[in-house]
Amino acid sequence: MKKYQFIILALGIIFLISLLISRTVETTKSIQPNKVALIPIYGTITVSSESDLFFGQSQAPSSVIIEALDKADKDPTIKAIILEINSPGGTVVASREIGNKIKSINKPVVSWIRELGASGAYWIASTSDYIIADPMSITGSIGVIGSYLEFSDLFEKYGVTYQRLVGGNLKDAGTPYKDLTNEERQFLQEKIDKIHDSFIKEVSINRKLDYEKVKKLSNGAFYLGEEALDFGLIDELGSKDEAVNKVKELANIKDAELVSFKKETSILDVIQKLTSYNSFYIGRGIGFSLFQGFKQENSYSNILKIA
Amino acid sequence: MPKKAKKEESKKASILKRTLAYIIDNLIIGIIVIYPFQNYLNKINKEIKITDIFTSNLTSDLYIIFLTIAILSLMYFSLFEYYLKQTIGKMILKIKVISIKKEFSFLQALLRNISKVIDILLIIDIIYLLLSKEKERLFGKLSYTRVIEK
Repeated sequence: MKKYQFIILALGIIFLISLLISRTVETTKSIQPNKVALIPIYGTITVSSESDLFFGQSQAPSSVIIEALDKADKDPTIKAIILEINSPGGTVVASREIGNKIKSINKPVVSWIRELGASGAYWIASTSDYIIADPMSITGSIGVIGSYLEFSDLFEKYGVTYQRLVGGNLKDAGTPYKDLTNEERQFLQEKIDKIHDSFIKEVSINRKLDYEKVKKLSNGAFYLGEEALDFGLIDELGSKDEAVNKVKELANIKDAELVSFKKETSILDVIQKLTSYNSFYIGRGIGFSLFQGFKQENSYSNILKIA
Repeated sequence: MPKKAKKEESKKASILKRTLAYIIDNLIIGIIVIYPFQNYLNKINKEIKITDIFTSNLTSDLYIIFLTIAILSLMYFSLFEYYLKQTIGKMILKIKVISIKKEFSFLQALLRNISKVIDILLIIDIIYLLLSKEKERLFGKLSYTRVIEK
């Protein structure tokens, strides 16, 4: 065999083998069992992932959940999504962000409420195609909290006074250092009512329920799973098995392999958190000494929670 | 005898030429071996990025792909060196492989190229090459082969 004949033949054979195996892998992949993404929503729903790693409450940052939803949506092997909810709610924006993401997904999404799926967590559940909850779970709680502690009397007792320096009457509405004026109270209540109304509308549209009916249920009360079923706030009582069966039915698949999208905490995460905490505390110490006395406590944006 | 040794020494291919030949061969391997998997690798590329955060079930496919790429790459180096004493990269750089003991066998070709497809062996090979006086790879020495100027 001539040199060039050998080169062409060898390269051709190697290329063909590679092509054959690549096609086989792709075909095998396409006949693999259907997958269902299991995305947990545990703890308080927040926009940021800042949390006390060792002692703090567990959090469900919207960015992490949206990333998981996005991944599940783009993965062609994942046919449907189950949201495993165990959350008391969280901030308005974070809940809305997650809800909007769920609405944009073209795959069946089933919410499975375990112990707790209240307020913001219920908002999220309402955007899914089907809600399953345990009969004794706590759900609903369609309301908004803007309450906060006010220390002005305590400060007065200790001779501490709040020197009010603002540009704009409502700039420090919600500060814990002084009593709310009527104007401020009305202003904050209006915002809370607006968010509440938006929450009611959202649930009404998502659950295809009459607005007035949802409004009647939305006094902030929580409902047990079986009560929520009677009110139409959920679709079925059950547990994980029922959620899996329902998702298979909606996705029209016979078998489903559950793929957990739980975020793993690696040693690198721990180190990163510790480093960022150190920086934060150093920065906070400097910031405190420089600005604390002049800080504008425009706190109402921080205290509105649908929890 | 010292004269003969000196003559053979002068025929040895330089590290630069051997490296360039290796780079050219890898480009060819990229086209004929890795390219057919490109579609699939692109598809799962995003998933691999997120596997740092989330669990995924792609490992078995990746094992098959990496094993295939490794075996076919080894075949490329070994077949060319066994039949032609040169890979395409070596042909371009005008260098070739010889056996310093007996007739060049396929087993020798396999042994001298095994490190090119197993990362850890390649690192050992490179360290040995840089530290050895003869400027030879460990697996070149173990297989009783040498790369010389043509």
